[in-house]
Amino acid sequence: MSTVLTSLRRYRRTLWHIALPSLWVTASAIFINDNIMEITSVTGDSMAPTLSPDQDTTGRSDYIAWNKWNANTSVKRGDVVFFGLPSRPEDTGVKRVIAVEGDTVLLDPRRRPKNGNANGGPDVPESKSWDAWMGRAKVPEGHVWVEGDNWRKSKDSNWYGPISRSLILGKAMAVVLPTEKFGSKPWEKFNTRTRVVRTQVDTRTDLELLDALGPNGTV
Amino acid sequence: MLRSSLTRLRINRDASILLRLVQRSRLASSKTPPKPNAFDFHQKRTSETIVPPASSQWTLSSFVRPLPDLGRIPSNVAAYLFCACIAFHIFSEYGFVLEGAYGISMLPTIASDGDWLWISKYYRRGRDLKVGDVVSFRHPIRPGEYAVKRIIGMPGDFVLRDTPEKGHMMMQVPNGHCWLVGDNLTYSRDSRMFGMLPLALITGKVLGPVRWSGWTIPYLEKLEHGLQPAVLDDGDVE
Repeated sequence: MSTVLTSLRRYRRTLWHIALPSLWVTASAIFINDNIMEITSVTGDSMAPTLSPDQDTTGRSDYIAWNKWNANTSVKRGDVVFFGLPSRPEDTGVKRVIAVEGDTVLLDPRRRPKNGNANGGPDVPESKSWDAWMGRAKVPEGHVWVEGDNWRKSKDSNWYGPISRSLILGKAMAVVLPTEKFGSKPWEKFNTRTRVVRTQVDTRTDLELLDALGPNGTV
Repeated sequence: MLRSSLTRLRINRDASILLRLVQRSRLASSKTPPKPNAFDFHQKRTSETIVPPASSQWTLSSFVRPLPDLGRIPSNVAAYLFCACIAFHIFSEYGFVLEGAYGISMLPTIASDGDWLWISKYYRRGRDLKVGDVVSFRHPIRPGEYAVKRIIGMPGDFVLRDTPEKGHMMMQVPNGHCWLVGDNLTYSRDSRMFGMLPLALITGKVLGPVRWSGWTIPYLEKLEHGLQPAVLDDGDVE
């Protein structure tokens, strides 16, 4: 009886030295995942051939490291972002930011929503709302316009309109898997065909603005 | 070989302790310093090189001068602080959190200043939410800010687009969105201003404000969903 107790006690001590640290490691990993960096896979071919180009043929998808620190504060045109989907709150999407608030997007006619592939197909309800933009979509305050790199198969802002900047969870940092592409940023070489009328952002500081408004300044 | 040296050291240690006791008694009795003798030389050699540890166990580490106690405290405190931060993050992100709320848009349900709201994070991203729930969400127009409003419409519901007296247009809430309105209709900036809110922006459900008066124990005032059964009003019909 005493030998069973001593062995149990020894077992409990080992558990204490293994279970508790592993709990803290898991909790720290969750903390890092939420606030600093997360690695997810990019499924679907809305961003092909930039991301996950072999997914249809080999089934391998790229794994990207997302920078989650202040992800929605400094979003620039051309960033690849990771955001909660407006139509399905439990899922996330990966697209590229084309325009920020105040810009006017000159809609690309190839990206008009339709049921089918690039060769054309019947209209869907979203086609009507796309037509209602009349070719120029102004991005409202606090929103961004996102588009997938693959214009043939991408359900992006052309389908659901500009998304709120608060939905953005992370910005792409680097590719993690496959190992051949580790550390690379394949999205930097892409030039989007969608034209954007940029807004004139006033970057003067408050003091400079006051000086410009004063008697000696030029507004 | 080690054991014999250890026994020798033990003998030396006992001898040094004994000597020190004798010296102390001599000092107490006479104020003159003790005369150095053969035993003193022996004592000097052992007491300066080895400091006897508190326990009676002699280990290898006792041959090394021990660190002062002050050096060990900050590393413990740092570890406990780190663990506390991690634990607080996990609990406040996935469990419950207490947040301060300011503003007049939810009067009289939530006070305009100084009310603390007990928020359950289980309901984040719209899970298990129903019409009438008061929710906290990330503001769609001003990124980085949070707001608290009441859900009036979930996906599929038909909601009034403006204030009841100002318009009569109705809209259907699409998939994945909700319609929020504040309790203080006149002074609330809600879905009537920014439109449908994606459910992915919702961070949690407000279970109620935590109130206390004076020195009473704080209590949770549970919020009601405010829905009432429809009343057939045929008072005008004769």
